Amino acid sequence: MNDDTAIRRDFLKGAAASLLVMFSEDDLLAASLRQTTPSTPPVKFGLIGVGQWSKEILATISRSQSARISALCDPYQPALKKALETAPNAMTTNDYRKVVESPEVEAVIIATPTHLHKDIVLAALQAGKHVYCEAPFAHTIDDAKAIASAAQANPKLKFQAGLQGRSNAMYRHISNFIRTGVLGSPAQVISQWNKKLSWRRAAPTPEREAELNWHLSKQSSIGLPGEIGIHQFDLVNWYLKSLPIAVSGFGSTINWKDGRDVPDTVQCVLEYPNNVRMMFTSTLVSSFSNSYTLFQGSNSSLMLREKRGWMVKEADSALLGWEVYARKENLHDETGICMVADATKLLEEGKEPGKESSMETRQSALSLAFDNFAQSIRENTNPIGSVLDGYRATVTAIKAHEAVMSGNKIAIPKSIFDLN
Amino acid sequence: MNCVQLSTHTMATRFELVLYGNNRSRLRAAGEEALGEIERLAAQLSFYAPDSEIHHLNTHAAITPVRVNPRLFSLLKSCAELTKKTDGTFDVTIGPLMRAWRFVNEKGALPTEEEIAQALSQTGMKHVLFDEETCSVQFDHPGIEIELGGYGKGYAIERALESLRENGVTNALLHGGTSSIATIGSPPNDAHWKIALHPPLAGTMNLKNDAMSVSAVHGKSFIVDGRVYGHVLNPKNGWPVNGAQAAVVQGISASVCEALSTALLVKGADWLPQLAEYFPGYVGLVAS
Repeated sequence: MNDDTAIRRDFLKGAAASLLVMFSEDDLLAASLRQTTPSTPPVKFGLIGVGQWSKEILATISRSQSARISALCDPYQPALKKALETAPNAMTTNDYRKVVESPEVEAVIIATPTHLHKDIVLAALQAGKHVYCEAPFAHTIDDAKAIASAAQANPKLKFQAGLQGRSNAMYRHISNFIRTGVLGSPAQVISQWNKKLSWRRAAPTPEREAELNWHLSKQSSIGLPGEIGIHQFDLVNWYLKSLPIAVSGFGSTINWKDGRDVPDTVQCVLEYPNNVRMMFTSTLVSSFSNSYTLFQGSNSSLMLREKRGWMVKEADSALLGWEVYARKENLHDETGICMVADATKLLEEGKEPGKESSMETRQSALSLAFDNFAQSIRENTNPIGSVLDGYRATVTAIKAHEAVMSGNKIAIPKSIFDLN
Repeated sequence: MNCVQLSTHTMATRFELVLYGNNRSRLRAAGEEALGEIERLAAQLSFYAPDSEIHHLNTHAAITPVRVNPRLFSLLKSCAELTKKTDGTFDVTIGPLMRAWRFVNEKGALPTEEEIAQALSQTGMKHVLFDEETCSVQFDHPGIEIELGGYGKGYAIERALESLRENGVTNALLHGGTSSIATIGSPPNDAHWKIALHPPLAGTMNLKNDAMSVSAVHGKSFIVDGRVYGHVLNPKNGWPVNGAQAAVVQGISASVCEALSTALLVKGADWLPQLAEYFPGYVGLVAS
């Protein structure tokens, strides 16, 4: 190693050490979970609802040191049979009550269609089980409130909202970074999720097909804002430490005119206090530029894609110091300063973040979410992605969907976000 | 009968799917689910992505047993079996050799003899230990790295076809980078899917409810002093294959075809009788 490299590494260590002071707790979370969880027995989970997303859940838990799947529940037998390939030792049933009553189940993961969550959550809490409930909690405010209120009424039981972005090591890192004021005055947020996709599920029989495509019917679905946008709405609520006061929406069915009655293309404008607005667009017609969320402020902009993040500074913003040596990438005509979520861990290993290793995090957000939930159960700590976070994100999504379906601007009373 | 075509880019290649059936929207939905399965497996099996299961295994398995997804456990056991049956010419622990030859995120470069010897000492499925009871995998040697480039594409295609069949699809063809192809049924008004082979291979192969895979020395390669060094490495001696130019294997399983076409390329035409003996139902062709 030459002198220049040594100085540079020392500088980075010093710079990151000062960042560590500011960011350490959350940034270390990802790195520490794997070391802390194996010392306690894995939490035994019952998975209720074995659909498409559950493949990810099963694959994630099959690798986990902190969790095991001990029960699987779905009314569709072939889905259960398939799930057993990944969780071969699990008990199977088509009745969720058998899962929540099973002594072999400590906690349940509720991954059924959104409109079926409520009864299962209430039964699980009644039976004394911890609950991980996928987001959105429900398709109506009443159901979402019933779920959240029941969770709050059982404070000894852990309840985690399926907002895995809250566990994403990169997002947590940037959240702390935003708290230092690096954005300056927040001006606007631009967010999108695009994928050319029919969003229709296939099945061997028409009956099964109707069950699987619940998300294409306005009777049971809150559409793209609810099933997709909720994660981006939650990110904005979290980062801005604020809640929307109004939302306008538009929706069209451009490409997939197959009998569905939720739009395949939506635009929403969410208004936050201090005249800050979030634009959310989503289409199933074009894949262009996939998914991102961009926070723009008077000092800098922060761009987040699923596993990566960049900061672009304004020319007149103050020098932070460390960014001189940070890895940079071109973002069209801009120079993006790469955000490296595992920086602390990498420095402990004697590596330069973003230089000697990938910028991407080494544990998926979903894996971190389940490790965190298991840890919260074993160590009696608060899970990341609280019931209130989940409820508020659900309300935001329901109101955004309402605006899309009506084409109107909808005021969101502050009181709707309170559970009391 | 309706025809629906879909594609996706993943595993550093393009996958294309053709489906025939009566209902377009159902075909499209089934196709999207199948390609989604390939994308999911690409994320799980990636040698490069820091949060992939293979990356986690490669990073930790020399230090401690690593619990893996039961289906990945089965996949790795199948690979170990194939390594035995191909006399070590198909071996997914080829990662260190790929690094030595600068084929990992680079265009390739000639390594030193010492680098090849070092990489060879870190290559071999014998270094991969399986614990059925805990569904965990451990390496007995530091530096071992599993790289599923010679198997993962065929495996993903196989799983995608499994998904299509579960969703009632009866006529489909799926290929990855044109080198791995698998089929369900046949196209309308034809008894088979007809696949034309490019030079140095020649002729046409007929597929119906089966698969094929082509391995060739061309593609990713570099030239030093007029000699071409291709990316298909012989795990036995650590050098790029330089005998046969291309090999193709047809049979029921896309993943087995992929492994066998690599082995056949390494071993050459002399191995064809053993291929037929050890792998009934699989047939191969070699262009030397």
